[in-house]
Amino acid sequence: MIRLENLTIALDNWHMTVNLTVETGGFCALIGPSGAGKSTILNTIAGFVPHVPGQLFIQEMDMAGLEPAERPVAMLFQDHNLFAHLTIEQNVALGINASLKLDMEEKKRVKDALTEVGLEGMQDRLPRALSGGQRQRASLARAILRKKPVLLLDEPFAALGPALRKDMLRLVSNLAARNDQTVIMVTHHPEDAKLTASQTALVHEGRIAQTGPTKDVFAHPSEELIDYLG
Amino acid sequence: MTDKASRNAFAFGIPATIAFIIPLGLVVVSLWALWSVTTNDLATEQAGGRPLLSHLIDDIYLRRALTFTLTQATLSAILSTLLAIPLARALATRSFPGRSAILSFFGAPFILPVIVAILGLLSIWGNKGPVQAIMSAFGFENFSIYGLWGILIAHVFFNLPLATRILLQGWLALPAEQWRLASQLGMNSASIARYIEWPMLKERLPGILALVFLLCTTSFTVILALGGGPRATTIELAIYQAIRFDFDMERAALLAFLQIILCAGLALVSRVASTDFDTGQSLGGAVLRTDRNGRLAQWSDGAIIMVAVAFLGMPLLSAFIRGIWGLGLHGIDWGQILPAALRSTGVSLASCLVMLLISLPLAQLSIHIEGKARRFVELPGYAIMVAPPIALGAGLFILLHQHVSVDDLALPLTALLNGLQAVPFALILLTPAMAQIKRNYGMQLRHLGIKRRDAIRIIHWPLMRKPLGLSLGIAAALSIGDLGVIALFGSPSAPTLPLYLYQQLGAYRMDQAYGTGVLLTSIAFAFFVLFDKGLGGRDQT
Amino acid sequence: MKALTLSLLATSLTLSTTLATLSGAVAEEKPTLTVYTYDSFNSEWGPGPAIKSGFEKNCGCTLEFVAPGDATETFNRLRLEGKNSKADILVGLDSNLVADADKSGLFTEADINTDGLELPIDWPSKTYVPFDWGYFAFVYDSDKLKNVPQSFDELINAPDDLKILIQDPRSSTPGLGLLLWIKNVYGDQAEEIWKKLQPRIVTVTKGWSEAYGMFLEGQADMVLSYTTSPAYHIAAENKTNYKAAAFAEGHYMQLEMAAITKASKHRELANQFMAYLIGPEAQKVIPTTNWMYPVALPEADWPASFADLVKPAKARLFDSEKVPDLRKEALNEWLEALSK
Repeated sequence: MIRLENLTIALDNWHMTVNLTVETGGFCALIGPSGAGKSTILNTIAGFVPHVPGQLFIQEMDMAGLEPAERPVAMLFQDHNLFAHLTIEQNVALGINASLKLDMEEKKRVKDALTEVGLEGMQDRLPRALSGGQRQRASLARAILRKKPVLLLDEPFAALGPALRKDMLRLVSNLAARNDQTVIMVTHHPEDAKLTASQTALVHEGRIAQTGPTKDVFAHPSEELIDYLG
Repeated sequence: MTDKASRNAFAFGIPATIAFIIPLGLVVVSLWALWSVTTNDLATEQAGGRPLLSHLIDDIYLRRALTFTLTQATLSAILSTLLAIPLARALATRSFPGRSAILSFFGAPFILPVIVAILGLLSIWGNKGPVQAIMSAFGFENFSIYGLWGILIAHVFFNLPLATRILLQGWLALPAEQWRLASQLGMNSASIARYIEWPMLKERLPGILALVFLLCTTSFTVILALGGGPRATTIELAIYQAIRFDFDMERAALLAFLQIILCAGLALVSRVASTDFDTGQSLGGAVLRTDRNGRLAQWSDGAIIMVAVAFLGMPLLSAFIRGIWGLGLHGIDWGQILPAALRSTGVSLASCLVMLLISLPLAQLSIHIEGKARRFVELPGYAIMVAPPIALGAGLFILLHQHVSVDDLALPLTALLNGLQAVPFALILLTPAMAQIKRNYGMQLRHLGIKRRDAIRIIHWPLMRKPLGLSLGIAAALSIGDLGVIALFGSPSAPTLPLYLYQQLGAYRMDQAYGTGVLLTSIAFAFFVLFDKGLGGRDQT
Repeated sequence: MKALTLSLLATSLTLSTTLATLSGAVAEEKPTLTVYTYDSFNSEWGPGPAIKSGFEKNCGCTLEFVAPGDATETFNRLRLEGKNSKADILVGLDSNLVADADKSGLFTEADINTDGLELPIDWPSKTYVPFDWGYFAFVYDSDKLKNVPQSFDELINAPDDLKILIQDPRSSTPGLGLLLWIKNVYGDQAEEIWKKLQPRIVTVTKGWSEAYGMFLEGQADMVLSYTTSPAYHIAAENKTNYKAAAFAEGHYMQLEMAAITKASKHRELANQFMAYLIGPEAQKVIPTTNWMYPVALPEADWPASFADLVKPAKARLFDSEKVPDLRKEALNEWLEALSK
């Protein structure tokens, strides 16, 4: 379970207070207008925003003071998930061995992860030789290899076409379900939430304006959600 | 909670502080040394009833040096910039085979040892050169490369390529839509110049003028070789003469102080006047315009490009040929050349080290500091820019020469100052590269928890080696060819290669000097290529 | 390529250290007497090489010449190095710089006998020992220049295309010589003379060698040098077309001195060298290498090429104590006249 209690994030002339609970194994979509702070919430959970008042628990463990790398979290960013000068294999291997001196067993694990996301045979290519979708599959392979209980997705598929995006979302939710991962995903597309998320939260004007099971949220939209959906 | 990680992954607190303090400290200490000598002088002058200001105004020679400094810099800046306009336009309009070769060649004067370029200019424009022959055939007997004309020619030689490259970028940065629109509207060259080109020029010209002006104000080797008589002495050279000819430390201090104040003022003005140019931008492609398709326009563009290439290429070619001939005639005096080359190599490598030790931490510091404090981090680079090495060297020398032998001081001081001089260039190359790594991968690195050693090996080194190689190449080439501080303090019996060349020039052993010039240039370019290509490696993106 | 880069860098570093160590080791074996002198003294055609081999035959030492530039620059280099200098002796101090040399306190008396010196003037100093002397003069090529000026007046009033080369008085002793020559002849009107001379000056070079080289290349009609310079062309090249112009006002003199530094760690050797420099062997070499008059050689032994040289109508020389003030004044006039 992920719990955010009165988590207060303050930037220059903007602040938000977040209360949100996501059950273990749940898939929560964060939707809301641009600049509402969706990505900031993910960055805070991942440990990139310093000195945040309030409390953040992941599986009842207090996250205060933990470095990003120490948190039980794997994250996919909007872009630059892959290092452009490293091969796909090296990029994925960073998830298990940061020195990149891999033994046979680790090489096999990397290979398996690549097969799992449908990139077999591409391990020696550089990211620029892959399509956008393939690149995000590679990033996903690394995120899965890291075996973290929580997966954070910061619109990683925003640049892909609708069909490809749906494919990727299905792949993510299948893989997450298989690995018992809890997912929080930021998206601009309400239909993405409807497609994959068990839970949806609307971020609006510095707070969570509405949250609950996805079906309920869209069945009984709040005024803010109606405004947002237009 | 996250600052700790950030510091671990990127900035090294103590080196950054040291890198920050050293350049500033050197400038301050040097200024203090100069000032203390000057005020001593001031006190004695006042005892004689002459305050400093009147002393300054009364000093014809100093006034003359100041006027000449400003005059030649102004003229050099205007000439270089004005000539660059038609040249850049021609290069922007025409695409032809060899264009990219010409553009790379335009980068060569930057790493070419100044003294070698002067040898080349002497052979073309000098009293026995072809230009002189043509001019006297037309009855112009009075032209001499020594003095203002020679200085202007040399400064245009060095700065025309720079100004042209910046302006060419301006032309190529004009949106293609504007050209299409112009040709649809049937605009002629005059209206294109007025509505499309002038707004671009207006934005870029002040910055180029200011940049060339600043470079020419602090130009030393050119003035040393081509000027120096009472009619053509700049403040920078007057410092040299005060120490070398008059052994007048008070005067040297006064001049150095004046020079630093002048440069600080100029740098301030140029900062206000200029916007930052992205010099790494591609120079490929040509503008598609329909107004200059006529035969006349084609011929004139062709002629402009050919004259420019001849102006820049002939001296180099001639210096090279005379150098090879000189080497063939006199051979290489290994007993002199080898130690000199090794000294230069040592100085150059040491200056590379100084450059790295200062610019790497500074670049790191600057990408981690945001907002107004960032200006503060730029201060050391700025301090180096405004303190001319001769003035700085004079200050440090005045401070140290009672305690350390000049012979022991000359080479380390040269390496230190050469290294410092390279810092501003290095920062231009290193800071954006580092900032890009941080922007693109900073969060990723922390997220994956890659340790600093692994991160440097796997991420930073492969991505930084290109700008690092280039900045090391520039630093090495600049230092190998430098004839500044070493000319001031260098031991005559243990010269660096450029100083050895200058000694040959002074003794009028021209053939040997050209020969040494070829060797010096080869070494400078070899170092540049070794660092740029060897260390920088193939393209990494 | 990376490996290549690194290995090359490593090699060059090792090489330079090795070389430094080597040269250090060699120096230990024999004492080295370091002599600072001006560049043309130690050029291959100057007296340096002969004096070096001649002196080294008997001294059991190594004689090292160091030539930082023209005579003034050399003296200033020594001042710059001060008490840390490795110079044992300065050779080529101009008589006009003696007062400055005294003020610097860098030199000490030589323990040698100077009674045998034959000079056109009295020179009692034991610290600054003259080893040759001469008169400054403008040298020309008689094949090219027909109407040769016979005085400063004629030089000033010569046709406009007569060009001259001079040296900077701040860096070069002939340059300083001319400055004092004109001051000595014209006194308060010196500045006027410089203003009139200014359009004739092709360039002001830093040192003598540069100006003389340019003159030989044909870049001017006359060059400031010595009355003895033509002897070189007679003796070495068999050319009699180079001549010194005799000026009616008389010629300024130069005495070239040698002096031992206080910092010298080889005082005995230094005295030995000073004695050698004014001894018969070196004195015989000087006229045909430095192209100046010897101080201790009977006129009968002078080389034949010296026989027909110009004999100045009047020898001019300022009292050396007066020179610093006069020099400052004349230099300001010169700068003012020539910077216009």
